[in-house]
Amino acid sequence: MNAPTALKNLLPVSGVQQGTDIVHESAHLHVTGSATYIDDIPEHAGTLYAALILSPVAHGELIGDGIDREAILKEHGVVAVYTAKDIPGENNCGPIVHDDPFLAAGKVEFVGQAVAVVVARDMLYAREAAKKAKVLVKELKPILTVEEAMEAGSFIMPPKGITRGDAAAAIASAPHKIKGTTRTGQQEQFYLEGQITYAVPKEDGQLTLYVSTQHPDGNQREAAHALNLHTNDVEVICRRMGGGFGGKEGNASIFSQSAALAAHKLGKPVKLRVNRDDDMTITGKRHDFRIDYEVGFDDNGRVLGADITLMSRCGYSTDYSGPVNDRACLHIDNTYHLPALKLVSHRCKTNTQSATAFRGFGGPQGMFGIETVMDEIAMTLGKDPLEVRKLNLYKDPSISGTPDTMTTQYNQLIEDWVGDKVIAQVEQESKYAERRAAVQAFNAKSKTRKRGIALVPLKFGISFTATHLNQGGALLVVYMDGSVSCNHGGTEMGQGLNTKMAQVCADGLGISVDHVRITATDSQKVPNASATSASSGADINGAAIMNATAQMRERLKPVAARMLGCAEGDVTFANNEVHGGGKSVKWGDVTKQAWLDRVGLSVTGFYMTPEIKYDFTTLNGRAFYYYCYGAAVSEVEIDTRTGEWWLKAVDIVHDVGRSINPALDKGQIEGAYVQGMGWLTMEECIWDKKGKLLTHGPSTYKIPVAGDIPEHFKVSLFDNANLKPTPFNSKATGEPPLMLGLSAFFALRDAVAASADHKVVVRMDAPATPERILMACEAVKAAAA
Amino acid sequence: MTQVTNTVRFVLDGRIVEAQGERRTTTVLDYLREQLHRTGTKEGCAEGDCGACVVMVGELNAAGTGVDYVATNSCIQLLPSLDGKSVKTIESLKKADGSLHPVQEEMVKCHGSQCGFCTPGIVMSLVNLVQVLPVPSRQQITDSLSGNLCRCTGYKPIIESATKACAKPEALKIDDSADVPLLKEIQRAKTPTLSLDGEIIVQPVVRTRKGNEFVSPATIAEVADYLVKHPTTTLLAGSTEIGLQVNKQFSRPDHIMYLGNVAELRQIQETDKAWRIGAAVSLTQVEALVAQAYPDFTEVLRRFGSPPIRSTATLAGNIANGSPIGDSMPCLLALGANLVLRRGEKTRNVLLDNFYTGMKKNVLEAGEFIEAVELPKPVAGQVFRAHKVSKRFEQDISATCAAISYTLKGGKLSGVKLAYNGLSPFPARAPKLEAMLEGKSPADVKAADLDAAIAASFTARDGLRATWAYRALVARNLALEFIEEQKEVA
Repeated sequence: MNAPTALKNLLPVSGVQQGTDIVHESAHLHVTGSATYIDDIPEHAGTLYAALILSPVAHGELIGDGIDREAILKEHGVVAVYTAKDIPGENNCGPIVHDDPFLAAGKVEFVGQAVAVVVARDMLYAREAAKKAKVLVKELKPILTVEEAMEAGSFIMPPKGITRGDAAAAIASAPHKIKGTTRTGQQEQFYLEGQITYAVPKEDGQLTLYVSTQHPDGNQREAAHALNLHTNDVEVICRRMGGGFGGKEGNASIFSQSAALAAHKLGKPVKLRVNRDDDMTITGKRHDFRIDYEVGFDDNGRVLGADITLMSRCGYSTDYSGPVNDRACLHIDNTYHLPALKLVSHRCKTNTQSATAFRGFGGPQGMFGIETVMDEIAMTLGKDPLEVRKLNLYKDPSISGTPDTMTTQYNQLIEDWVGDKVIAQVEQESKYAERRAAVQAFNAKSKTRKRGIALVPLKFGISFTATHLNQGGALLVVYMDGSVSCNHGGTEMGQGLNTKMAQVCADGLGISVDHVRITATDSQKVPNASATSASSGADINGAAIMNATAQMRERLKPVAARMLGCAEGDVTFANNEVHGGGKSVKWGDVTKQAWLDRVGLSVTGFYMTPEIKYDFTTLNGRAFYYYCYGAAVSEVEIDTRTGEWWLKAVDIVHDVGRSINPALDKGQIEGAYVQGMGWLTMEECIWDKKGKLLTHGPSTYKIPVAGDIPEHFKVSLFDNANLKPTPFNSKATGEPPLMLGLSAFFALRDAVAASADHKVVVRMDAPATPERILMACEAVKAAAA
Repeated sequence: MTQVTNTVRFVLDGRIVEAQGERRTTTVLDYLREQLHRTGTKEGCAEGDCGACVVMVGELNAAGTGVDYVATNSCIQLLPSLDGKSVKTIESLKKADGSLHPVQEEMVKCHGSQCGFCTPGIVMSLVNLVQVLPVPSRQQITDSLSGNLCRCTGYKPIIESATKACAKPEALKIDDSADVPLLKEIQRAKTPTLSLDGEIIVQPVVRTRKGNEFVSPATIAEVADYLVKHPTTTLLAGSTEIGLQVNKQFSRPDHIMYLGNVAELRQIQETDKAWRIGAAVSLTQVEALVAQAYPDFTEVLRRFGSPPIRSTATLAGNIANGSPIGDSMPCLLALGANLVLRRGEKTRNVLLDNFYTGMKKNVLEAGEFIEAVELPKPVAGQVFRAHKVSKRFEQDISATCAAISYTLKGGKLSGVKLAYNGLSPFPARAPKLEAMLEGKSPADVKAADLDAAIAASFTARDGLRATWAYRALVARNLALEFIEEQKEVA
């Protein structure tokens, strides 16, 4: 079956579902506590519990197995203990490069690496035994920071780069130059439901794994390979996650495989639920970046050339660090045309958790770099940063007179540019100019409190940069009573994917959503599914469902035509009825008749994203199918005596194309803004000198709470149909709005600058904790004095 | 499993639950999920910091006519402390006709849930809020949620749903009429059990075969007696510290004594000059108590932790734990609080200033406990200022918390008491800074003099939550702010 790649194939059939604010399909279950997460599934009799024994050192050689098996087996309630040596097949959970053992083999490479899995009769016994177990290891010197890795030449992969024009010459001849270094911190995904797998052995050596995962297919394949099973021997099921944010894309495998190993060996159901501390200690987070920049610009603030070096801390294994760092390179432009660029990206190998996927996937870090540059240019010239930002935007060559001003540094022509319009709308809606004046007036009067405001735009590319992942699948099942089961390869982690998919499915059959049940993601229903990531969930799975409903309509048309006495070509589906020849029959009557007529009522749908053609070795080509745009205005107030700050107001305009469900999209945008704001302000991962993560629970790692949200928090959707064929002309919503949170950080920089009357360029790394804000204030005051 | 005697009895939705055979350290959350299969209540962190486990714990009100509730983090509360109380979980809101509580209904309509994992805890925090505050302000709503993390929504629709729910005041109260008689039935004894010789016998709630116990006495006499007999007993009030030790370190103290049922310890007595705050009085009550006299203290307490923490945690617990970043102590030190310590029948008074002897070390003798905290009332002209600095305003740990008390006499600072946490091994006054400030007019206080006094007073030490440079700077700036703003008052 051909994939639906033409625009008309992905337009709504009846249109009823487009832009409908229906509530999350599980909302009534969420609020009553009856939504089932993995740990809520009633346990099978004889279920055992697993816990992981973790490396206490950042780098070391294991002595023997690394554990004293006999001692552990003597612990109260312990049933078994397994190490890498007990794995019959491949010991790997690396999603791309197979360099990531799920149980340490021979060596340990970060504090928290799983060395062994202990199984006991009771979860407490398993955890106690794991905690008590001594890891036998010869400690080696670790590499912990980007600087240490650069010095030692420790990389997980060779550097990549992009060269456009002669940046060195452009900088050398530019009237103004800036040069500096800035940093962003790591960020913990902090899904509220921790990592968990419940592994249940089935007959003939098969396994069912209930995993809180964004990537059931990955868990399925890796478990099969580890246990020398075929992929069809392992079933992975995930009804919903209590949050993912990228943290359950690759990371879930560490747990699903350990549980699968124990269940397979023992022939008993095994649950592995790690506590929050272990979860945060074991799993990877958002890459922290060091960004070095040297930029030349003209008197107006137009960038002439930029030399940028990205250095990220990837941790001990490759994980998703390749595409994450690639995406940072592909977003170093954000919304700006950089006429000459020398960009180098170093991927540092360190003895820390394997940094992994997190909403935005490198994009936010790249954009943070260029926004720092824009801000610093404005500060240098004494201009409003918004003016400099606008000056550097992508422009139609017919206006700019320069041929490549709508072409990215990776040679993709931007076809759907609306960045300037989005900025104009938020500027107007937020009354930016008025507010900027009010902020200045406040600052002129206030001695210890200073306010800041910033408008930061965003452009985010949509597609997996690994081209082959851009495919979706669906299974559509119609029962004779007209009720519909629909399954797709995506996973529900709160984003409302299943709600949107139910809408898409209902639309395609001309029925109301209450006819449709989107069933738990199951690797035996839709095979080889891509992870639900890269914001692609609704695009690829929605298109696959539309492909399936189109097929189903074709099957039902002859049945309906006979019932209606009309031509097949006249049959249409709408309002829970099937119409034709001026008559209507009920949907349920058609499905019943189809069964009587022996028409097959299940179909599979498939979709592949067209047009993408991109060379990931040179970072060159059409990397993205389309772009999402947005812009946010944040206003803040700081106390220049303590560095404390308050978010006063937020205005957002964001482009989600023609929204399938505006309420869900707004929810994504608000949540993403707050998560981005948290990343850049209060969320701080701290390691001790030996590489042990000290912030491993919410008592020490602070994500935003309700009190941090301003009363004025306005989100508008930008009216903009996707030019590319996507379900209902919608655009991806998952990741892009996270970068709206940048505006909070740059508003803080603006407020810090105000503490020295904007005379001095602010240097401030993220996260902008009260400490960094106060120290930045002290620095600018000292420099201005 | 270790064999136990006795039974934990609590009321759950119109029936009495008798929990038998549970560990003395089994948490309320684990019992609800694993034994009662009430899986709507979630574990997010097991340290009382995310709110996914929030339930309402009820006690028979003083008149015996209804139930008073507090939102509670079930993950850090030990099951035996529920004995004699009632619990409402998310499942308790289910009505026979299938209708939802207004908070639930509005959470659905306002799109207040996304992944849904935090949702039951958020619903319970809000339902608890509207039991007593049918028209909460935005600030009261966000405060009620200060211990509930949501990673998906950005909170806006949650706040909105709370506001909208209150438009239906008649439906906000949960129906607990069936619980009241049952609560009466399971009330714990109000007087000690005595042996034939007249000696006190503290009845355990849970007792293991090895003789380890969880006890929940009703009188100070029992507390004192038990502590003399078992001086290593772990005292349990808010469980914010013990709950963590149980969950994270797998701690299982031999003897645990819960103070929440000791009526005398839950009293606040008032004289002309001071309040005597019993060791089991919750921080929530103290917040209300000092709101007029010391508004800054109330704000520090509001930011001490979320409502579930504050409604169970106590001043005495905070003091006895003696953390270097304990938040109540700077305020209490600046206010000259006095501790009533008791061992057996003997009591003695010790100024909080003289209580600590080192990091987490104090003058308490074996078998001795804090019976009450005596907090002086303000005197005429007294200025009290306090402020806590942390990465996040709510439910966070201090970088430093500072408090000062003084009067202005002829424009000069007099009777200065200045205290900090986070700067030294235990919260302490800063005598060198006090001496530097004493007798000066606020305008004459120089930042450099404060800096010098800070440098001379403390050992520079970078910490997890802040560098020394930052702490020292904030310590100085807060001192300056505390005195500067009072210039005109003199």
